[in-house]
Amino acid sequence: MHASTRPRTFAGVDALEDKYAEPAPIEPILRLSRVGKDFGSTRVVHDVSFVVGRGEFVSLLGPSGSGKTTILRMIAGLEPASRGETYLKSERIDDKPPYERHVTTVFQDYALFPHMNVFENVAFGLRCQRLFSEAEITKRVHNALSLVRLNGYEQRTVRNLSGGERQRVAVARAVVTEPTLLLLDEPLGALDLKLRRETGKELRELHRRLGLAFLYVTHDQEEALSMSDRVILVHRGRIEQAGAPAELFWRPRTKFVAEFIGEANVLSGTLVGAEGSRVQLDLGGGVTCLAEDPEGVSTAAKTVDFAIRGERIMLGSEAASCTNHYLANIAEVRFYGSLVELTIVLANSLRLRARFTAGGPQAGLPPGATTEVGWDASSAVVLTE
Amino acid sequence: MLGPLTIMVVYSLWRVENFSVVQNVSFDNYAYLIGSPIYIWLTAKALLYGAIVTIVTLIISVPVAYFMARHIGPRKGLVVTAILLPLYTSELIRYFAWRTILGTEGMLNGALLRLSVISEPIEMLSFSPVAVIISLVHVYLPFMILAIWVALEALDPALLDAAMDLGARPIRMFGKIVLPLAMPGIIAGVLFVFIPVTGEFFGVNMMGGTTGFTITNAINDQFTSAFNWPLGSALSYMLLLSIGVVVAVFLVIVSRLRMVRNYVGREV
Repeated sequence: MHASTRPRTFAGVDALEDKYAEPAPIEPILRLSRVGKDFGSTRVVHDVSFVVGRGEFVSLLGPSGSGKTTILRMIAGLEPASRGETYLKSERIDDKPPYERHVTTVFQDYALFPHMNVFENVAFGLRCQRLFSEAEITKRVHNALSLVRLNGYEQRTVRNLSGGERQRVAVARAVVTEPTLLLLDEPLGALDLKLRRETGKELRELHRRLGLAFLYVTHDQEEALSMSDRVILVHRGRIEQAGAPAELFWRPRTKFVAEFIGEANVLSGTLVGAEGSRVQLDLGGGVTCLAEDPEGVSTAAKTVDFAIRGERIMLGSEAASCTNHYLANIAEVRFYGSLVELTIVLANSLRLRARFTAGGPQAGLPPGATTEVGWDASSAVVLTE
Repeated sequence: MLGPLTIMVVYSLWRVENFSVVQNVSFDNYAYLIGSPIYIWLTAKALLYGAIVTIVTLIISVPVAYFMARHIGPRKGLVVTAILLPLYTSELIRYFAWRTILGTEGMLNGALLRLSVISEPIEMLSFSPVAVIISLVHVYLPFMILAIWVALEALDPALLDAAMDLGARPIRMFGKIVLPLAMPGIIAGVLFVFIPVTGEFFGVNMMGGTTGFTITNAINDQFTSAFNWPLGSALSYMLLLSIGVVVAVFLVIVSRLRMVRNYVGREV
């Protein structure tokens, strides 16, 4: 696969390339064009461009301090952007105050109004619009509360709700005004693991039922991969890569993406031969490897990094049929329950982590065993930086 | 605390005859006070000063405290010190300072005359209710600001973000979020200011002259000049009770407000 033919689900998802090259296939709800933010002399968000389409579930994924929450706050209008343009549908919203943007947010700690009961919290946005009679407000609040399965909670004070209930009130409060776009700022962050999984599923289900565009900020890659239609990976205020979850997982473009999502093995080598987008790399110690180089960045002069997913490494007889195969030692075996992680050492003492389903034939090898290890050239992806 | 108050209760039930205290228990003193328009008026005047000064400090303090809580970051200590600074100086000095500013031949009149804004000095500035209110507001302002500031400092800024995000314009945000959540501070501030201002003796006399004469003067006179301690004690209790009634009415009204009632939170 070559750079120009690489399939992209969206035009404008990639800050590094011309975002206007292809028309967006879905009607865009939100479009950011070279939006940036400086705090004093610190550049927190570099010029970021992306699109969220109608009914899409898009995640902004990144480590803490990557600027993802700042991007969200700029879209909500809670933080003024230093540069760039933001469009909601076709309307430019940069200069509008937050109360004039038809966007609502589910905040990280929910920010429920402590002096109001559940009903008043949810009704707040409707009352601000001054469009509805009290009867209509009551009806809409009831509908929103039943959407998050909180019927009968109207008169409760928010202080006595559990974390999960608060989160659902926050969601009801944000969707009751029927916004054009719903922003979610780590809405599961305050919940424990089990509840996080359940609530994540509920959010996904809610998204499907409402058909509303969601922009979801998280630092949890599992959350982002499992819930989103598309993931935008943010690092140091820049978009590292954007695409479908599987695309980011299997075809990381940069070392950061490879390591942040699913902890891929990142190796480095120099170019010794090429055929189309397939390159032969010298890994040192007499070990060479065939890899995929979609962007054509590898050279003989400079070492390049490439990534191999631990899930794509084969052992034993399956390894022998791979494009790349070597004799190797098992250094360590770690049992994680549903999967087993092996640390494998090649002849040139390169270490790789490989993951296997627990109970499978390849997972049973003991530490110290010598075995054949291999992977296909298509599983080794050369990274751009 | 309770000792002097109890002694005062006992005293207020006695009587003075021929310059000596007669220890006959009766409610004559109170009956006399309730039937006396002058004492009722002086009590009402003390309460009125208390109410006006409280309202003026409240109006000034809410925006100041809000600004302090929201917009002053690292220099907060400096601003708090600046607000507290008047409390470090003697009350006497502060009232004299106001007298030199507000006097008929004071700085304010002088400046206005020189700028030809006025042709005659404004008499109303000195020894008038206006002077009393201005100076008492100045003296009691720090208490109100600090009480409200502490409440607003505890206000989670995310709540304001959420309000705006849901479509609340600044006025609605202020009325529905900031004010209700500042209520504990406002109540504390009102009590901090209203009670001492109503019982103020020194300031009202220094600044008001004869117009500053309130029930506190009458109490002072009974104890120091007329030597009618029983009547003085009864007057003190009349003031104490009327302050108590006003405060109780205020608290009842406040707790009936919808926003506060929700905050205090009745479980259903």
